[in-house]
Order: sequence, then structure tokens, then C-alpha cells
Amino acid sequence: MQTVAAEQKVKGGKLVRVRIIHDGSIVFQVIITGDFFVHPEEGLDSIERSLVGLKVPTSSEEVEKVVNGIVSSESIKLIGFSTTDLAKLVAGVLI
Amino acid sequence: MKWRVVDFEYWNAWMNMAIDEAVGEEVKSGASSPTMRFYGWSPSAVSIGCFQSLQDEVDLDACRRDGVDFVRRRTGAGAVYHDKDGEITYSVIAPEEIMEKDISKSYSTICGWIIDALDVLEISATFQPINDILVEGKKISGSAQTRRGGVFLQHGTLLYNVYPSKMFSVLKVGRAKISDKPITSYEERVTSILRHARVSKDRVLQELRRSFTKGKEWETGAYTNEEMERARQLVVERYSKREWNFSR
Repeated sequence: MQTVAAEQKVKGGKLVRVRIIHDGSIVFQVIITGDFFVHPEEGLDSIERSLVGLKVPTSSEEVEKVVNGIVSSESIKLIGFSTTDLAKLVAGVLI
Repeated sequence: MKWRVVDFEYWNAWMNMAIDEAVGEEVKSGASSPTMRFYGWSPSAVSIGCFQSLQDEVDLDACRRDGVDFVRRRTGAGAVYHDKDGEITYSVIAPEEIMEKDISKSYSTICGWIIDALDVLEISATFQPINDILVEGKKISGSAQTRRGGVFLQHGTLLYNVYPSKMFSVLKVGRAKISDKPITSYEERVTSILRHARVSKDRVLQELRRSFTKGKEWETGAYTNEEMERARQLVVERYSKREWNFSR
């Protein structure tokens, strides 16, 4: 099991940090932190859960597809970062 | 709809966050009017955004050493050092339907009330999306908003005076951001009312109350017994709990 992490200050937006635990092939836990906004706030838990089970490695396009799916189905609004920003950050550490 | 204005008073960090939530519950049930409150933090405290990690953002040893409280908010945005003497904090708590639906516009509207108050104090300020107010390019105010269960809450800070060394000792973010720069460079990013106008805190509060209530029906009021009882319960159940404050 290993923990990987990354952070990005989104241009014109907020700071986003991800911390991911995986075993080299599957993601077990994702924690997203930062000074952004998510409405409703519980939506961030849903996004984190949606990323559990991702394969390692995973492309940013694949991550974005998963995140867009949950954001759309739960009408989650992200302020200060986009699903693309998050997907790139997540995929960037799942290599 | 008549607003209730609760004039400036000091509470500790846990109670400040618990009062926001307790008032929100009473506003939701219709037992309390939409509320604007102005308050300070005693002792001084750090609040972090609901998506932040306390360990990442706050030097907890420094907080314990300096007697600075810490609490996780229910709103997003960043970590804030609330100095007992240097800050005025506000909350606007109302049924969501009487506030603007668009989140960005509602930030702009309420920040506009602060800008209006500053303008009367002859401080020219501008709204900086998403949630900041700047004076001469430096941050003087930041806000955060949540909408839960049909209740709108926006709270935010207005720097009356700024104490960078105290801020640096407790905020890791501040320290990281200036780690390659002299301490003055952080001071270059923030400002306060006293750097632009020699006015008392009471005068600032007077102007804030005027601008926040402009065009509205309102009266000054106090918290109800139910709100206070619920707030104390929320302190015990949530805001003082390690499980809440260290949840990320």
C-alpha cells in the first residue's frame, strides 16, 4: 500500500490537494482538501468515493469522466477548480 | 421580511460557529427572522475551511502556546486567523429564497455592502471574485458561503488591524507562502482599515450596520433561548470534537 499526494493552485481559482492510497493497481482511498467551495458540501465525499476503485494508472480523461458523472448526477457545483483540474491532479499521481 | 441585527459581541471559536448553525436552524423553521450578526473572537482563533486539513494549515503547537483556539467551519475557503482586537466578523443567515440564487452574484452583493461601508469611511475597495475584497490591491476582507436545507449562510471577515507576526505563528499556509520572501511581502498582500483611516471599531460597525440594512426592514435583537441552548449543544456535539476538527 502506498500514499501519493499532489497539489495545485488553480490559476484564478483555489488550492486543491489530493492524497491517494493505492496498492499499485487499485485506488483504496482518496482525500481531497483545499480552500475551494463545493455546493452542496457533501458532494466532495461523493467525488472522493467515486474515485475509489480506479485502476492505477488511469488517464486524466478517464478520471474526468468519473468525476463528471458524479457531479452531474448529484448536481454538485465546484467553485475555485474544475473537474478537469481535479482529474489532471489525480491522474498525475496515479502513474 | 424583517431582519434581526445582532450587534457586535465576543464569543469563542466554537460558539461563533455553533451560533451560525443554531440560528440557521431557527431561521429554517421560521422561529427566527433572517439575521445579520457582527462578532469577534475571544480568545483569538484560527478557523479553517470545511475542506481543509487542520494539520496542513495550522501550527497546532503554536496555537496551544499562544492560547489561540481552532475550529473547522461549515463553509469552504481558506484558513483565517481571527485576532481578538484586529477583526470584525459578520454572518448573514436567511432563507435561501430571499437571497440571490446565483452564488457568485450573492457574494458580490454582500461584499458590496462591505464596500459601501468602507466607501463612507473614505476607503476605496473593490470586489475580487470569488470571495475577496481588496483595497489598493491588498486583501481586507474574505467571505465564505453555504446553502444547506434551504438556509443561506455567508460569513466573512473585515480586517480592522493586522498583526502579521501573530498570523505567521499559527497559519502554516501564510508561512509557506512567504517562506522564500521577507516577512514584509505578506504584509504587502493584506491590509486593514487602520492603514487607510483613523476610525474607531465602533464607527466601522456603525457603517456596516447601516450598509447591511440599507433598504431593509430591520430591528436589533438578541439570540433566543432556544438558539443559545442549541448552540451550546452543537459545541458539545460538533465544534469542540476532535472528530469534526480533524476530519480531513
